[in-house]
Amino acid sequence: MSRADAPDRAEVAPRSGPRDGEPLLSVRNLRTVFYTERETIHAVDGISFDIHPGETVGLVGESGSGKSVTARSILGLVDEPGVIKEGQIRFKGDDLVETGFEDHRGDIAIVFQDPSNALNPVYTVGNQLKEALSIHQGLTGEDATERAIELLEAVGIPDAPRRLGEYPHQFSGGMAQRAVIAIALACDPDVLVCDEPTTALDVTIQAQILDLLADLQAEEDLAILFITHDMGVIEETANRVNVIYAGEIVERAPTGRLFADPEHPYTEALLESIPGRTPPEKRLPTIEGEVPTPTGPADACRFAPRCPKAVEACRTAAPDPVDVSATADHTAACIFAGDRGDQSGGANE
Amino acid sequence: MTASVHDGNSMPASTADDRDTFLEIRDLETHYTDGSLFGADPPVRAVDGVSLSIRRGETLGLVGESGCGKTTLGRTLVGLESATAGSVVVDGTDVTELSGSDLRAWQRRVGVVFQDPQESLNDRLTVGEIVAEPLGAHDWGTPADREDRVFTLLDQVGLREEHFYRYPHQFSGGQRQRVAIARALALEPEFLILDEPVSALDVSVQARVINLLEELQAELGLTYLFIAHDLSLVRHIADRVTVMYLGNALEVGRTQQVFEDPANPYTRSLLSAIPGSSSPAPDDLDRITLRGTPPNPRYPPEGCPFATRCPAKISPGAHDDLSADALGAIETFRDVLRERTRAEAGLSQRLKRRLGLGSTARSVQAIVDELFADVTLSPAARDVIDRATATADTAPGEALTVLDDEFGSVCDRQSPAEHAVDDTDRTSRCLRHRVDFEDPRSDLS
Repeated sequence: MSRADAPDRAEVAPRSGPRDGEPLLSVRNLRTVFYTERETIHAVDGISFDIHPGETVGLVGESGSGKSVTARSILGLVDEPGVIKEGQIRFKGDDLVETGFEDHRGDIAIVFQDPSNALNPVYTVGNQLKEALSIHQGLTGEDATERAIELLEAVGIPDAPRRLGEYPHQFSGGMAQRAVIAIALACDPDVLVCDEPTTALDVTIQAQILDLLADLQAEEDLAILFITHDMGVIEETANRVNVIYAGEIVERAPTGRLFADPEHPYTEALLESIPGRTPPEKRLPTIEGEVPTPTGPADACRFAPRCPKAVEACRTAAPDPVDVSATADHTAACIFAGDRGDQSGGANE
Repeated sequence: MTASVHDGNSMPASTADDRDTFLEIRDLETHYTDGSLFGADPPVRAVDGVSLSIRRGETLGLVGESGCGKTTLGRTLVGLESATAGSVVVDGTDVTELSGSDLRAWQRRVGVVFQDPQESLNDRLTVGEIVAEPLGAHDWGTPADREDRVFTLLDQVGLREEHFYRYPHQFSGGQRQRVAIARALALEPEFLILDEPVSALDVSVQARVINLLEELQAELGLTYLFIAHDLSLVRHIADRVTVMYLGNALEVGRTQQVFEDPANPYTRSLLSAIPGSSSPAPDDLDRITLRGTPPNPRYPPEGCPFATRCPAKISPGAHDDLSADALGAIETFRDVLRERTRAEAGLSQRLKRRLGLGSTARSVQAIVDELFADVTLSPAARDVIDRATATADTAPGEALTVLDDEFGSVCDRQSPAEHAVDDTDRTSRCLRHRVDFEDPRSDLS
């Protein structure tokens, strides 16, 4: 399953950041499962991807697809009854699954969807920033205050000194998300995981936050894992995109390619159901059914029950990701991918 | 609740669309006053003078950012909030004046679907009971009639008979929203208020609910008010669209015209901010990133509601040599002073001051240095900034007055009137539409 290391990286994706050399973060065959009383949920089921310094890797999917569990796994934030069952999360030479996450806490920071949940309502924003600075950089007193002001200014909060003394409820949604980003930056991270960072925000504020993230990335050479359900947002932010469905990455491609030439039927359906792509007088294309909850190992294509192209072979074996391009790093986990039909005995019966 | 008299001249005559008017909103205001002990805070002007009409059988899209008053407007139409001024006329009656059985009779004609099916459905009732609720509340038919009606409704929204006995938590988000739609349709309303009906749903599920709503409209001849922040959806479903900002309708027109050639600077900014190649914005519209956030609706700007963020704001007469960056920095400086002035007026701040616990804020000079670090100012402008900075620490209000006097634009002082943009019955509120200024479209694209 893990073939992102494959030496086919001669191609230069048009919007790709620096991708040569070792990846900063490398996820291999990650499996995170949740043991509930009734069943075992394979929320993340064998996911692999790389992130290089200065680039944004997108992870896009519907709710319940496992994208947030992926984020939490990378940060070591998976709680009972969940556990990382298998796989590697390699960061700066360490496998975090094996060595534990403590040594690199702060090197990987996360920004969650809802800033009002991410901030503690009973402490001032300044307290929370300074706490992070004290834990991760050992700054206290005046030094911490000065750095806190710098960070708030860096994320575009005007009148930062006064804002330090305010409580989260005194911040608007966009300002609160800026504060959350400032706290994430207080750890001086190398990787920033953004889990639906703009979903709770209005579109004009979303534009500001996306600009801010792009600026910070350029300044700090941050590697960003950008998680969202919004295809428009992923198109603007990511250099490469992974499409996740029921715990598996079904397609991976440079962003431009994915949007211009999707290979997996799920990606196609996802793109088609964006209302902006359909003329107003036409009905919106839909995908029947719901994202399934994977309760067992994959013994079939998980998208097959909803797939307009599914044949018997799709229901009897789980498709492996196949290369669909000679030049680009583009894979799709579909028996029809690539040469459309004569792969791994697809469309035979 | 005062109904004012109107002569109807402020609205352009309906020429382009022959559908008759179902509902006429005139100068509607919904202000909230919280019963604070000291009564110091001014009311929240959630809806602040909106005029528009909804035609029979159409879908009117109501778009705007959170806090712009679009939900309050919808709730006011159906009597869930009380209008503080203006009127909503249906069949010659101002429905904001109704009470008792008259109000209930009006509410029967309107169905409402809210955003979050997770919260709007009672988890302790079965789906059958939920859909039957409005029937019982309005004494509709016999219990047997009601049950029949519920089965018909479930069928209409694409649910099956066996769903009658299930509980909402057993359903997916899309199915729950179907239940909410069935409930809204129970009393055979002619008008549905759809308040962000699909924003909590995934895009593939969203599409199915939208298709259902379109089918129901065609089948039952319904009129829709479709409230949403997602402009792509509105582009798809609405016949006409109203763009709201800070309690005001800034642009109203046919969907196609508004999306293809937005006239108001706010509409243009909003459309330009939609990411991705599937954006419904015109291709030649460049991204406009607005500064700051919408103002507090307790303290709306005196002039144009959009003046504090507008990228096409008319430059101040005496300082028309300033760059956009400089004007932006000055706007931010004014924001800072405005907020400080308000904080000063707050009770706790006054108390702290009296107790000698003075604010921890760094001096304004440092903020000004930061704000104007990369900005070129003319000597005259620099002089004004320095004068304001000098008094800002002790008297932010005075400093603000200095800035307002020097850098205030006509947009800060005058509220723009409705302007007929074209002959398709489109209106936009922006001072730039006046002949003595450049059209807002020329400055922005």
